Amino acid sequence: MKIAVLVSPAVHPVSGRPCAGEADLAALALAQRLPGELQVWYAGAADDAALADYLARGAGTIHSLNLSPDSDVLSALGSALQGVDMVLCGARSGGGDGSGLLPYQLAEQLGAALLPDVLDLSKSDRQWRAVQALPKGVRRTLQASLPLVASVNPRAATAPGWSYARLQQGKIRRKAATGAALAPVVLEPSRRARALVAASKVSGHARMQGAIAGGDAKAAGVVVKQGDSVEKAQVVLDYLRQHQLVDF
Amino acid sequence: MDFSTQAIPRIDPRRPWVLGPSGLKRIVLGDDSGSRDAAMLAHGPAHKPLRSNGPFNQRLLVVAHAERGQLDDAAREAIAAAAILAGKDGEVLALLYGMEDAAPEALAELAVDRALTVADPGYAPEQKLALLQQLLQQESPHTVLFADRGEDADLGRRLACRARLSVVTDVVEIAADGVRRRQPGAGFSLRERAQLLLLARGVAEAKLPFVGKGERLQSAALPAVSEQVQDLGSAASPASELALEEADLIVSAGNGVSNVPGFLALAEALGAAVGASRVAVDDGRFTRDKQVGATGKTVQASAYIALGISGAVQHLQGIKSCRHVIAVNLDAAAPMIKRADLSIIDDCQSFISAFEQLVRRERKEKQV
Repeated sequence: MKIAVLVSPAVHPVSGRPCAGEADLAALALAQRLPGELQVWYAGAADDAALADYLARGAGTIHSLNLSPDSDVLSALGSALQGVDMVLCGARSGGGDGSGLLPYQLAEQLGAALLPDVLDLSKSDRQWRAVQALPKGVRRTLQASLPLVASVNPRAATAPGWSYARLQQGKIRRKAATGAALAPVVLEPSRRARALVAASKVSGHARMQGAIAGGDAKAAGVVVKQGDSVEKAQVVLDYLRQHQLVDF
Repeated sequence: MDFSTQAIPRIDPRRPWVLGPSGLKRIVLGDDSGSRDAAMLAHGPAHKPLRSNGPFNQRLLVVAHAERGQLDDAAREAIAAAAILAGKDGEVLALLYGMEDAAPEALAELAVDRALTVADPGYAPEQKLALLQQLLQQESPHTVLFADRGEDADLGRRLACRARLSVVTDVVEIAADGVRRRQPGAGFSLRERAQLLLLARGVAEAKLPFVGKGERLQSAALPAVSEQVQDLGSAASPASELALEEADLIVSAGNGVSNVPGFLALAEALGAAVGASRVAVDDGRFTRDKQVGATGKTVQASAYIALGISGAVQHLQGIKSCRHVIAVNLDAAAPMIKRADLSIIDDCQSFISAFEQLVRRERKEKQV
């Protein structure tokens, strides 16, 4: 079985220098636990220093597709990954666009099953089972057959620590590639984002009244003072049941 | 003493007035129509005008998943963004999963003009995609909006890749010159407005001064399409084992709780995660990782039960995004009572033991 792990350098939140992305490292560590032939791929314009963290944390050899900074990685990666059974990547890269779109685009292009935000992967018979992380601590188990594309949650696995020996032994194999041009982007300095607000034609007086009466704002809560503790406990349980907050 | 024999012109201080178009009070002397008391007006039902009565010649589509029959703030903001962007001749069309029994008034209040409500089938991305593609063909909206979180973010990305729509994710600002998103390691990146936008929180003000038409389409069944990935079911780990930030049900103790073992027994019976206020943590009753509030953790639970917590501002910050807050306190004037959706004025010790017994009894009855 051929496994490909996609990595890309992230921007360090404090220093702003390139470093290994958390989710990509988790994907690398998860792939190393699986049986199969592992290849690490990168597509983009980063130099050796930006990829060094991955080598130092156990990537071995990184296959790099050299693209110009303003071109799309999708077509180059898509053709390089033909014939790969399983593609693992971080749920979101910490650099570049960080849009989280790549696994979706790759799954569509390769015709593979998509397993988003995976915490664990295991084999059962001929199929693969993935545990997906959902909000509020819910874990969903999904089953799919190869080929598949999985985006990996940063908490899925921990990569080995940084090692100078591994960095020295690691190799980056570079290959030129071409990609479609990305839509033009204008970079601007950071500031507070302005929310869309509906133009309101009401008078100042009406706005003041809205502030007093609350308009459609949340109605004040119910206050229960009557009864003993047992009755009050029943009120709370009724409230929890009414809003389906408990399952009994 | 010399008194004037002329009648003194007296002015009624509460004379009737009407509100002029400029928003100023206008008094017509001798006229007894109009309002007398501002305070009387203020408690009337809020009346909002209709955003646009049509005819519509273009539309925007918003897709949202409801949780327990209600849309969360992110989804409301996405609908509000659509209503603001729509203009006079634009219609807001919504595809809502899990809101089959929403009233037309509730839909109108959301500023939706037309809504297609579908029962949430759980994990079925291929079926949802097939329905969305049908809808795109029938209605041809010029923009599709999703909230960029949870199920909506997943479905939006799938749709963009399947239908080959241009897409911008994590949009934090929609302006006349394009859309902005935050760029890792830089400030904003500005790009052209795409056909599909995934909206981050805070992109629009969810409170709107108008309502939509709130019409409801016949709810459609999801098309029968086979799924590529099989769902083997999902499980929520017990809330007591979860990190506080992830938990869905939290019971939290403050200074009013002196019987800690009893409190922990209640949390166990309820299957809830345990939180605490700063006072209870400083006293050594709970460990620091349980602290909820500005200096502790910010929680997103659906239900937060605050026992004996007065509700300092710092604590209320930590529970800002909790949907239902239930407070139990002896002091009816505590700030927590103002925040809570349900408040019980009672002694915490007796309430905790009564509530724990009730929960254990009801659980046992459910099992039998």
